[in-house]
Amino acid sequence: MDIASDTHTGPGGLVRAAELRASLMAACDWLERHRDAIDALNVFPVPDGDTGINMFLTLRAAADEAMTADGSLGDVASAMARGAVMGARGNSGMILAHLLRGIARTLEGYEAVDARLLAAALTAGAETAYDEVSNPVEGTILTVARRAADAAREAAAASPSLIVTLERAHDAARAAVAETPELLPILKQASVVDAGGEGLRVLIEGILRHFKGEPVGSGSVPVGMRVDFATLHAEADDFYGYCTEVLFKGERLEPDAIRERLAAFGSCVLAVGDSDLMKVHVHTLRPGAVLDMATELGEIVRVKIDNMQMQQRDFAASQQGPVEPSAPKTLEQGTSVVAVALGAGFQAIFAAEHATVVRVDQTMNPSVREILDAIGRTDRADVVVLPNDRNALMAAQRAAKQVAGRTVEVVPTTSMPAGMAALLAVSPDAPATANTPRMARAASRCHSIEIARAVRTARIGEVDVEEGSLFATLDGRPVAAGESYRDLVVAAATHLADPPDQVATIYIGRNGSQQVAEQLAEPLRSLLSIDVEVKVGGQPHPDYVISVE
Amino acid sequence: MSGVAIVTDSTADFAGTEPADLAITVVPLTVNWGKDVLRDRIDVTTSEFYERLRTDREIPHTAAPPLGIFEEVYRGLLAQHDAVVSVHIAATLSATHSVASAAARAVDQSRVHVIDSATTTVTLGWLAQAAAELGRDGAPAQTIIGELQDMIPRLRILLTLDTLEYLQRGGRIGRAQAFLGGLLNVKPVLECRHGEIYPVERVRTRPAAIRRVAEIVQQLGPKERIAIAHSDCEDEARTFAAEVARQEGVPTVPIAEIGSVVGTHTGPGVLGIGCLLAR
Repeated sequence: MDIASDTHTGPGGLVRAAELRASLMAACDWLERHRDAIDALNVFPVPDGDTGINMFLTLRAAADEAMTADGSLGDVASAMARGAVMGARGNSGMILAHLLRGIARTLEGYEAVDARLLAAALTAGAETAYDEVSNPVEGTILTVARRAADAAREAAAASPSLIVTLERAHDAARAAVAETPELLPILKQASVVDAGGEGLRVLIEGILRHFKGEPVGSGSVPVGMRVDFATLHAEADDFYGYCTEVLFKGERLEPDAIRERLAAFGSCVLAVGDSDLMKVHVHTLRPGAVLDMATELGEIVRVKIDNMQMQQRDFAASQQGPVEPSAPKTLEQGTSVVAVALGAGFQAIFAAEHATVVRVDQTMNPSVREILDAIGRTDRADVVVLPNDRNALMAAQRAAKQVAGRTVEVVPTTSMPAGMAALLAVSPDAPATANTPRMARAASRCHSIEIARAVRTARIGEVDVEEGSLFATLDGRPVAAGESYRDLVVAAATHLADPPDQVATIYIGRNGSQQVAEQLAEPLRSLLSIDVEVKVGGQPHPDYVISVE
Repeated sequence: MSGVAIVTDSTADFAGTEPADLAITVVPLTVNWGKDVLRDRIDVTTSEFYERLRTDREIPHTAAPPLGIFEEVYRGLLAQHDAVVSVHIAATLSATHSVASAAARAVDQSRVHVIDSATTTVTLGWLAQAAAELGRDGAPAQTIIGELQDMIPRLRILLTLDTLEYLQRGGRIGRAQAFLGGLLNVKPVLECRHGEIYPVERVRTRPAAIRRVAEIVQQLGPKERIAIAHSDCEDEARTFAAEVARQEGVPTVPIAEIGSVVGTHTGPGVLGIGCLLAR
């Protein structure tokens, strides 16, 4: 393929700011179309496969931020990285953010990127990701990133074509993804490839398709609707209509002129972008007029229209009590606790025990921004963050690093029961330095038994699990499978290294029942001679979480 | 008779000694309960109080001693002594200190010295005892005051209790409100230090909370004195005292029962350790 056929790249196979933005959008769409497929690459019998959605949300945050950036390619790339870091979800999202950060550092100061610079950027991205992950594991997105970068360097040495370089990188990524089960035994056991690696491959593919002029799919992705927009809507209660967002391409687009025209349609006018790609936002009773304007000026890329009155009702219903003021406040000495919690019951209990709760849905994957927001709502000088899941740890650490002028520590709890134990151990008036060791010790003394139904047949560790059967884990390790709740909880309890001497707490999940919880409580009472408390956790899975301490 | 007379109030608890043996004058606070106005330790004994607390649906209230009682006590003592040192429950917890101070101003400010102990119960008892012993040995008021000022910052009480309900109801919850309102069954561990009640930790069961109290006390390092204080849980206190004695390497740990005024604000079921940290 020669340079002239690089349809969407500029003269000489160069990519400039506008093309970078557009290609990110395309990759975002492409990744969204694949996200369910990526999610389905589960390696564990519990359906917590959220890699696709997490990578998509991370990339969308990157693309959104890139959309708002003016200036050179380097500036847009920095914005992209910033957006990714702030919006990163889950481990795969966090690694993706590191990748984008490495890429952006390499592109700093450049107006355009050619094949060699692209290869150098991909290499820096992979290196940054390896450096930032405390325990890099081969057979994951890291391997895929490195192989893609290696291939890109080789291609760029031989050909100046950006598309060729991207194609080689994509081919290498595909080969690396196929190889992941050989590198990571747990993947092989479950007969899947690595979800994060596949996500990265899809992302590269999306960019490649954009530059080759191939379609990436329909414009159903709601881009740019972020929490701050939602808050804006909560305040704009005097105006009902349609929140209309349109992304469109054109030539010699003038933001000021467009803003003026939009102002005639409604309120809350925003227009960001540059002369050939523009995103507009307006609250209007005539969304059609906005679309007409966009088609008159160019070509619509994407549209999102929300009925704000309905949104307002939903939003108001979700906000119990007044919106908390964000005004600066004087902080009391001592330690506040921020806890990530999933499930209405867990969230209520954490809040009642005086934690500031990061409420997540579906999976334990808060963004850095959500954790930062929770830290912002605390009222003591020091803060301890409890991620309560391995998937939330990196976001918690990233958030902790970003807070200036306050001591923010992370106690790396890996389950909500452990987080609860850590929370109860806090001395609110003592500084974080005094609290963290005690909280970590309390968390380590708390054991967590989980009982769930397997969604696929697999061999996990020493335990064979049949699809649809029950299985129990103790501190994340599978210990038994079977059909009897009683037998499972007894099996799990006998695996406890030191007998508990305090209390067991059963947290019933969304699909669990009080009767089963009682079946679980009875053997714990008689076997371990401890108190058993039954609470509603409301977690989507597993059906029963039992803390034993 | 000359020398210095020592006064305290009825919130002081004595472990292993009796105030009368040390010639300490104890001014009673009052417990107002229904139609009854009860002078602490005079009209109601500690065991009668907890018995009634278990059965009476009415809630008791406490009140500082009247100004007139302090004036009378100080006048009486000054007739026979050069000076009075009057050491009282933390000013942050009770109006007693300010009533005593007003009485001192009314009687003879140069000879009546009112000290804020920043504590209460068994650790306040130690202050009164130390002052009385110095007074008996003929120390002047300034020496006694100096000794008390030296001891006060080193006093700690670590405790657990069954419920924060009494502290909250009596308006003494203070900083421990950080532990109010939870949804799990927890036993709070609190610390009384420098006149404030600090929330330390929430523990899931009482046996574990009691163990935690001992652990925290162990981490406080060397101590000059140690005693157990409890409200209406004497059996537990005895077992605990034996464990704490082993832990601290002392032959015995004395036990004091918390009186009705402090008991009004804590309820039954307090188990704690008072410490005087080594210099």
